[in-house]
Amino acid sequence: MRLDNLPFIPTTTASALARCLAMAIVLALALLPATAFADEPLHEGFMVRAGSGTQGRHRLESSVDINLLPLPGGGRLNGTHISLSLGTDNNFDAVGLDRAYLALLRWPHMRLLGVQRNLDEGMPLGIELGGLSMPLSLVGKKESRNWIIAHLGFDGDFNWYRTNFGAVEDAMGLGLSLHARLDQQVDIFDRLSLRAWQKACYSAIFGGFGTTPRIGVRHQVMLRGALGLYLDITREPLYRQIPRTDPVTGEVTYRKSVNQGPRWRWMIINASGHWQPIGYVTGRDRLLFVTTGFERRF
Amino acid sequence: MSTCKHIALMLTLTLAMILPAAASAQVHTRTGKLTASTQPLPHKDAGPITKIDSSSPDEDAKRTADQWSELVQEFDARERAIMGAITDARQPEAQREAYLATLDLERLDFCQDFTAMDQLGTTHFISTAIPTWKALWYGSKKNEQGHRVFFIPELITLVEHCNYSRGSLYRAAFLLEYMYWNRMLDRTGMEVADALKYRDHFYELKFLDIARDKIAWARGLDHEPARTAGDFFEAPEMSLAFFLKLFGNVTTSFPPRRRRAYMAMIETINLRRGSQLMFGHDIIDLLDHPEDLELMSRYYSYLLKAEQQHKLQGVEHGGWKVLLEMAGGDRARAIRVITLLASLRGWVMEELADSLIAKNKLTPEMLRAFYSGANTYFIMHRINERSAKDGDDPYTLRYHYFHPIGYESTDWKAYHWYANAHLGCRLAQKGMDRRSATLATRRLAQAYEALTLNLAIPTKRAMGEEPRARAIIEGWEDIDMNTAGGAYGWKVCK
Repeated sequence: MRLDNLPFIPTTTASALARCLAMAIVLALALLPATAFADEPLHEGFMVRAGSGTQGRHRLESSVDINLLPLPGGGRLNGTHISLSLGTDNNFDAVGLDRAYLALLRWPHMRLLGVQRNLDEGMPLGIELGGLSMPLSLVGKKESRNWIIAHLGFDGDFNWYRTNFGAVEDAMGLGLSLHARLDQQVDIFDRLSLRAWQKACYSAIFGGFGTTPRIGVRHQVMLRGALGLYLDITREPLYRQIPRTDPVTGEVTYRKSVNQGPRWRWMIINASGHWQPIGYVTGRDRLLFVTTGFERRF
Repeated sequence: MSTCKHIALMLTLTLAMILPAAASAQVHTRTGKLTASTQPLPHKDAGPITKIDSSSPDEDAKRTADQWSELVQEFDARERAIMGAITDARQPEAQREAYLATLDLERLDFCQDFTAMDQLGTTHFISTAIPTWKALWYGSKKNEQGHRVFFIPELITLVEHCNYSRGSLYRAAFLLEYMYWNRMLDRTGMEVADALKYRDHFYELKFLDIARDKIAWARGLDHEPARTAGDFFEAPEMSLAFFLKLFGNVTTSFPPRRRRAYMAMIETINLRRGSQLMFGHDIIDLLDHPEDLELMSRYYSYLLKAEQQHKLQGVEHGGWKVLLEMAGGDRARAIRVITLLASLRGWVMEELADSLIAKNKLTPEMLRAFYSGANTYFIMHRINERSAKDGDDPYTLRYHYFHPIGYESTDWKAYHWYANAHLGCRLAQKGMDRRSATLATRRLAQAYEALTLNLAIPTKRAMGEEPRARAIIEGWEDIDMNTAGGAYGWKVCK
């Protein structure tokens, strides 16, 4: 769909209509999500894994969150994210940097200034300008490890797509995306947990397209998701007991609490993928990637 | 001079100054602060400090001066009681010296003034510089058995090293408070309510220091310069209000009555430039109601009594029942007093008192009420924690003590409930409908929680706590509590 084919929306009506429109935009922003490549924004720490995908690439992937930005009162802000993925083909003779993502700040609800590369989407280089999202706790209690959290938000980036990196056409433009994302974590047993996330993302890419660039707009809808099984292998107990003395009887009872430090886990299997039902720019419209590895994350 | 020698010299000098006073008062004291160690104690250990005079406001200057002196004596007695309790938890002297020598105190001056911007630096310092932090972290088994108390004695050593400077008291209190916010206080080897006592002692010592300073200022004596920027009474609206209004304009536009309710709520919150206080108009109105100030002081006395008599904490909704009784059955008044004087921590005393002194309007009764309110905020946590019942699952507690009959929560932040109940009440008084009023409180809570994530995420990480999912889940529990408070307040005042 081209920009000139988009329906024209009159904006010179009464203030009530303007307010209605503003609310509609916010609701629309709220109904769609953030977190471009950030695989699991609700888990912070270090991860390394290896696996293969249906596109015929084998990869070694690693990511780490570091405390980088200094604050005037001392200490450093957490949430600077670095993620790298080295890939090769079936003959192991074409080793390259398949994916990369460096974000100055990547929190669950806010991202700021990143550089990214994703050859699965035909993008050798992109700049993430930033994004905001509204987290919603759908299921969960403070002391439980079982939760479902949604994020609704938007982000903006400036990306380059090239056919020789797998894109359908050469392109360079500003992408504005709306996202809706769901993250789930469920403990199957005390130390065995299931994690999953799903994300729907609509992007409008404004820029130049084709080998002799023509200004235009492209639309893309991308559905992403992952499902992983994690075994906690940290020696320290997962839970502790908190004693409480009844003020009247003096009886001591215990409440359970999660020990929440970063923990080593074996990522037994993690399957992630994307499906692009609508899109003219990126390369592969569907992809499945299966990995195994280890993490030390919160 | 090496750092170790410097610290040893400082410690020796500090001890040399402290010991004589300690000998006279039989407890460890803050040097230069206690001047009434030979005077009779008006109150017993941890006893009530309240003594509200119900005479007319037209007192002569001498009587006012006497009242200030009386208040100073009450504060002195209170300080001695706290110092006695702190002394009981101190490290042995040799251990203190050895401990201080292990710390790289040049990395962070624990004694300097403490502001909100220092929170992350402080948590970061603690997580990397204090050796027992790791023991705290992994010593859960020992802590369960209660065999050893971690961390709190070391905090006391640091505060003593700083000669009880306001910054060190605030910093130590903040660390324990931060652990409480994140359910880590049990790792100190104490039960949560017991460990909270030390947080509250640190805060109260700071409040005592501030209160004495206000008295000195009010009496025309030497005092520290006022910390509040500007005059609260004349201050214009805070610029943050613009963003809150913008948020409301966008999220509560339809139908128009929702937007009106939201804007009326922002007007009630009345943020003023240069102040952390909310409810500016209501607080000023409250100053014209000495009976409300007295209620605050009396209620704090009751809470001190309940803290000592544990069986009082076993009464379901006991704190609410007593509050309501003291308020003459007026639920709106009960909510208003707690909201305006206690839910705002010590800000009323720290900030409003300055503006009142500048206008020569601060009275001993006002300062006593402000002081009582500041400490009520903290003692409510302690009693709430001890009186809570086990929840339906193995993790949660049901907090009931300060809530009305028929309402309880797994969220410990009763002050959220009160502040929003007051908002709901004011919206009802302004003629707003129930749905619009509760939606307004919900929207504000969402904006507030989204903003505070930016503070929670990095500091949780520095403390070694899960910094992401948990902060979001907790934020949404707070939003639900705020909304429930708003709905209750509206019902009370409709």
